[in-house]
Amino acid sequence: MKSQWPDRFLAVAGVLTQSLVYITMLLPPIIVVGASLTAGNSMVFPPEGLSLRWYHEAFQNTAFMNAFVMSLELGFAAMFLSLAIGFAGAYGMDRYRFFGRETLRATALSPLIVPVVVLGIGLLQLLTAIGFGQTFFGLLIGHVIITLPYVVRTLTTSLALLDRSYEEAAANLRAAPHVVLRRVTLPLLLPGFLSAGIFAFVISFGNITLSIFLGFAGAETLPVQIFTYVEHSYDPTLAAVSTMVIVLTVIIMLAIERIAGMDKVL
Amino acid sequence: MQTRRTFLVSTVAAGAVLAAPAIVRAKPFDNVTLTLNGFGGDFDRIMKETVADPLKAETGLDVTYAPGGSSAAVAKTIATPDNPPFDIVLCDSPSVPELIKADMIDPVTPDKVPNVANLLPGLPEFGQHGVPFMISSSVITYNTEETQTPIASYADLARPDLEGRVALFNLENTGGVLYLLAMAEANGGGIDNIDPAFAALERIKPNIVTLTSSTVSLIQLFEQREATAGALWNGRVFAMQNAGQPMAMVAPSEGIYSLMSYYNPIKGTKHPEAVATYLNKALSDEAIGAIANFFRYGPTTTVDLPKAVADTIITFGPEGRAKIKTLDWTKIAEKRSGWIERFNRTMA
Amino acid sequence: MNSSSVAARGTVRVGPSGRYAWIALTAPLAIVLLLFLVVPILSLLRASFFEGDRSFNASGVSLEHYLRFLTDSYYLNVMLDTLGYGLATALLCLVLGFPTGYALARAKPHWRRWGLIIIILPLTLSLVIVVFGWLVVLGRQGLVNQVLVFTGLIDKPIRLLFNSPAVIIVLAQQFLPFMVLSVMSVVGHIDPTLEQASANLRANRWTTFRKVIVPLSLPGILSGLTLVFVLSVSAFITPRLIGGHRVQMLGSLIYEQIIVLLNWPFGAAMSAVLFTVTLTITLIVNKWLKSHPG
Repeated sequence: MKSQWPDRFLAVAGVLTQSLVYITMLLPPIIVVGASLTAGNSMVFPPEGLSLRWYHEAFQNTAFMNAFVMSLELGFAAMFLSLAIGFAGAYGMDRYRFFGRETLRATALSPLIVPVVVLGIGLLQLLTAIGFGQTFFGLLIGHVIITLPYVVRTLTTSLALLDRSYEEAAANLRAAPHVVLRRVTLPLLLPGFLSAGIFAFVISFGNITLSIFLGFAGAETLPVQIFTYVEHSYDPTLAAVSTMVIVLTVIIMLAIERIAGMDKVL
Repeated sequence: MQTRRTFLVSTVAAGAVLAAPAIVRAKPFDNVTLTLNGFGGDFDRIMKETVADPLKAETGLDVTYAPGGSSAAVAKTIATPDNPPFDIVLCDSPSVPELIKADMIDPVTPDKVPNVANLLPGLPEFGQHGVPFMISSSVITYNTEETQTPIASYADLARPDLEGRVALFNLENTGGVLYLLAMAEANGGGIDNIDPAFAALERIKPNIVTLTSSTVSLIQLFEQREATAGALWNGRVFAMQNAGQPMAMVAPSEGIYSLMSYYNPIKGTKHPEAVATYLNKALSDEAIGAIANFFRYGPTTTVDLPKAVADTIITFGPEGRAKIKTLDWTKIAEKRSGWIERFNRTMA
Repeated sequence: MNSSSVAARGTVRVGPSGRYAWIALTAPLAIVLLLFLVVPILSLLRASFFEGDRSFNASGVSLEHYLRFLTDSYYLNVMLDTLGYGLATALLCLVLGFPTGYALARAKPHWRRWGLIIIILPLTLSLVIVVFGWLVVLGRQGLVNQVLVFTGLIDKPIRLLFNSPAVIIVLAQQFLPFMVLSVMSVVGHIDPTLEQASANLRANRWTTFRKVIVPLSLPGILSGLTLVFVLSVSAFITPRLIGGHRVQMLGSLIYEQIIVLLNWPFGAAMSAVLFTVTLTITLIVNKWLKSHPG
């Protein structure tokens, strides 16, 4: 029966903080969905009347729709490549001690610290010099570079916290190392992979500056399309397109989770 | 696909011998693709309808517009001088001296692009460099439901009744440079003596909600009524009015300060003839007129527009042209860095 | 790249001779970073030493750009402000993100799924949209002002946007997902029975929190703090759009120099200074927190 108030305080503060967080995170999507349903000509909230006309506009806008598809392709490609390279690297750094390990770890984080405009110009010049200017590969490698910090960081932490006794038990049962990796290590790392994958996809999907520098005619991403669109036009089409992004994000997240089978792991 | 085409060809060939030569005839730019940086949204749509589509039909030329904003396009071009990503760069007045300085653009001559002759007299700001296609002007705008007394000048933005209601560009946006020069020249200064402008700005400062580099940000502020008065591009004020917003458009009494948007043919393009053909088409009355008609920015040529349209464009025709203050963009480019630094220091 | 990661898996299997497996495992990462990160950074470093304010046709070696930055109290103050915003945002994210991430990790799968989706959603929205959203919430005629006026706490709307608190709030909202996910993925690894054990030992929740939960989730907290700090420090669009002219951050000034003024040498020099300072702080803080857990 020691003092109860810190407990109560902790419980109440926890609930309050979480409510605040969820409300704050939900407001922008709700406002966008609201604004997209306007019957008027301006993007305002609250909307002026209700209609689906701006969705009609958005679907008819092939530039937006193509950019949407492009962003999805690029996001998934960057996510998979980043997870593959990042996991191999994080696993190597976790299991082996070698010269330059800390340097490699710090370097993997540093794309976040280099201002994106600078990285964009540097990469554009480099890629053009080696013949990969204006290519999908160039755009993809740029996105891999900016997603790697999240992937390496998240997987490094997960690996460090991994309970090695499961792996040892499996090894004692004479499971081959690659079997241990596939059947024990990777499943245990699934939450980390999930976080890292979500990070990578979302970062790539939302990036604008790097995509402006490395993108080219035929490979424009949705954020770039939106950014350029508002240079000369501003109407609720934007809200309609953003609502589609919201819906698609929900579908993708549910699908990733289903595939990853997160329920069974945690 | 193959079988269907064979089928089509054989059936059509039988009956349409006359049509065949028209289909087969090679066009001059059949396998040529030009890349331009687009201006985005409705702008690219109009360019496609009035320039790219007709050119495709007439000459076989393909045109692609790569979005991303014109400042970034200029930066990308300068970053990769040996292999620039565009055949033609679209950008505004302040960027043209940079492209000239970096030796990245070719001059445009009437023998290659005959429609250059249609440009309003005395309009081009850089001799034969760059082809202007649109004039954007800085105008005063205010919400007529919230501000009863009309606002006639930039100086009026310092009025006490506008406290906390004014939104303006910062100097990152050229719109900011334009009102700065307007206030300098109205108060006895100019490019070489910018102090009067900063003094005038100091008087407006207490009224300022925010200063932003983003055009769309200003529009959001006005539409959500976070700010009720300020300076904006004439075309964007028209768009707000068109969407039913109660925003007034006033040509400031300090004068009309404008920038022009230019087509710049990039040096070393693989398809100089196609570029010239594009530029010529882009200066046609259809293209220039369609842009002016939709955005209500000033046309750069002697194109004729319906009176109802022309009346809403403050720089229309030779009389409108005469109202535009002439600016030395090369000199502005030299001074801008210092102005921005001073602006950042004093306005924060 | 594909072939080497296949090779990596092959070497691990060998067991004892897998002593050099790290080479195969880390090679793709090292090569990609070296080629596509270190090389561009080095060319940036080179540009920062050019003479004059343009990098095309530039030559020479000069410290003028570094001197311009380091000898001007204006730039140094902006630098300090930037670090301050980074720190404030990181701490705000910690306060908001830790309870959320922790609860998510312990939540039932059904709720966790939707909680995660809500946390991630704002990240996928264009900044134009996010700014619009904040205008609706914090604007003069926005939700918060309406509530405050309605409840009589204020008698007329006040300006909540275009100042430093607004920038910190919006940055925190933008980067909160990174804190939440970092904490969540670590807490997921903590065995709930440890907390149970602590509770059985009659420790109250506060003590359990302090002595068990926080130390165990420290790697997640660190990782989240680092991400948020680094991201906020290099933010450049948000401060301009949400802070207006009242908030100056280095990222915006770098963007201005490079995109608007095309002064790449000075922009590069500012980037190099920001890079060095941020990396140093991050490494020192990480090292210190790791050696003083608690």
